[in-house]
Amino acid sequence: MSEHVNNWAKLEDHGNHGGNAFVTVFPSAVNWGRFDKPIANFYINGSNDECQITAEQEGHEFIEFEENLEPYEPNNIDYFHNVWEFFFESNSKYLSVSFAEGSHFALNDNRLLVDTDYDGTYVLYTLDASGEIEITDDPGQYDKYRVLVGLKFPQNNTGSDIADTLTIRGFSASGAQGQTLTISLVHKAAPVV
Amino acid sequence: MAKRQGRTADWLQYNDNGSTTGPGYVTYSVVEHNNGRKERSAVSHITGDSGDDCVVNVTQNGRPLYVNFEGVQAPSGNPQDALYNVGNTAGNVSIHGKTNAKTLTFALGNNPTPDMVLTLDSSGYHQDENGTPQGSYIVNGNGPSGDPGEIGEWEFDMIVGYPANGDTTTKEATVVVTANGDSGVTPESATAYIVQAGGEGYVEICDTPTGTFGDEVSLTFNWDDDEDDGQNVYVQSNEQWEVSIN
Repeated sequence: MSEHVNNWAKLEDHGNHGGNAFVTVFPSAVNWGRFDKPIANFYINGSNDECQITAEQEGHEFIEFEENLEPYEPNNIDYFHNVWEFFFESNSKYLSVSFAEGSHFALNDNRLLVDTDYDGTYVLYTLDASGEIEITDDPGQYDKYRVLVGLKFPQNNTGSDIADTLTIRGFSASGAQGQTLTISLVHKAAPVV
Repeated sequence: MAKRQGRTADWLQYNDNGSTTGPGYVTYSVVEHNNGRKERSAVSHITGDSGDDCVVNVTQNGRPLYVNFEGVQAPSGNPQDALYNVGNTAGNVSIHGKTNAKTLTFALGNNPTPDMVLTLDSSGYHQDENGTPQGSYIVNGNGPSGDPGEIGEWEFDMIVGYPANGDTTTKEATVVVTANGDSGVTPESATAYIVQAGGEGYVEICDTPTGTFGDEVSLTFNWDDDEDDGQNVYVQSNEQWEVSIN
């Protein structure tokens, strides 16, 4: 059996080298980029005849919650907590963060931390006046990256639960709808004593 | 005195060697083969001036039962066999021979190359150079009317059909003709070897096993497909092939 590799695509010949048989083509991995993988070609060569297998893998744009870093859920934050952190993944060129006007919640230092290599090394991006950042070199064309988000907020001594919605939009062209990650936030009221 | 020669039959001639009186001798010789199964006879008279007549009975034996295919020398080395080379596309070949049989029986030989299945025409007959049938048609297992093999040789043809050769290697099959003579006579046989040229090598592919095969297949994978989401490409070929990426 032989495996033939062409970039992202692989072809397994199952040990077949003649006559009537079959081969199998498969991607080596999920395509996390926005762009389609470049076309990969394989050839079946006879003595005077040649056939071509053309393979392509589609890309897609996404933004997706990955991990909660706190021992409590965002919609059940006890009154005395004043931070909530989480990871999300995306492959968009631009990210925008928004809360309702006058929200109880805010981004810590108005920043996002982006790790494109998944090695714990972050690049700090400060949101502009529109609440957006542009990922340098647009690595999302071909792969995903991880973003660390930190929210800060005062303790909730209002006597009532405070609810809001965090919306993070990933998009890759001006005016594009892109993909949206929506997180419901609830800062619980302090219990009545 | 000059020699006198003459024919007492088409196949027999004599030569008096210049002797026409007194002691002498006459030489009798045949001038053609007797290809028929039966002996043939002729009578010659040596008559004196007085009218005294002597009779010479001359007999030529018949030829033993035989059948020969005519063509290129066969690989068997037997002189009665012949080789016929045909092309790789389906078609017919006329195998030709001569015999003095009473009847002929044609049959497919044993151990042909797999997939080379010959078909025999239901009648074997002789054609001239223009393809015009000569004489009467002979149905396999029968012989021409009047049993001409008794007194001479006759010719036969059998049309043999063969399929296309989808492989690149040559294929071979045989046709055996059995000559049957008179009762008690052991039949004789001859073999025609049909050797078919190999076809051109070809390779074709399709993304389904029963679809239309051709030279190109395009595969599209979803973004979330990985090594567990292979797609098969089916290959049809009559030869060895290899995979390359260039």
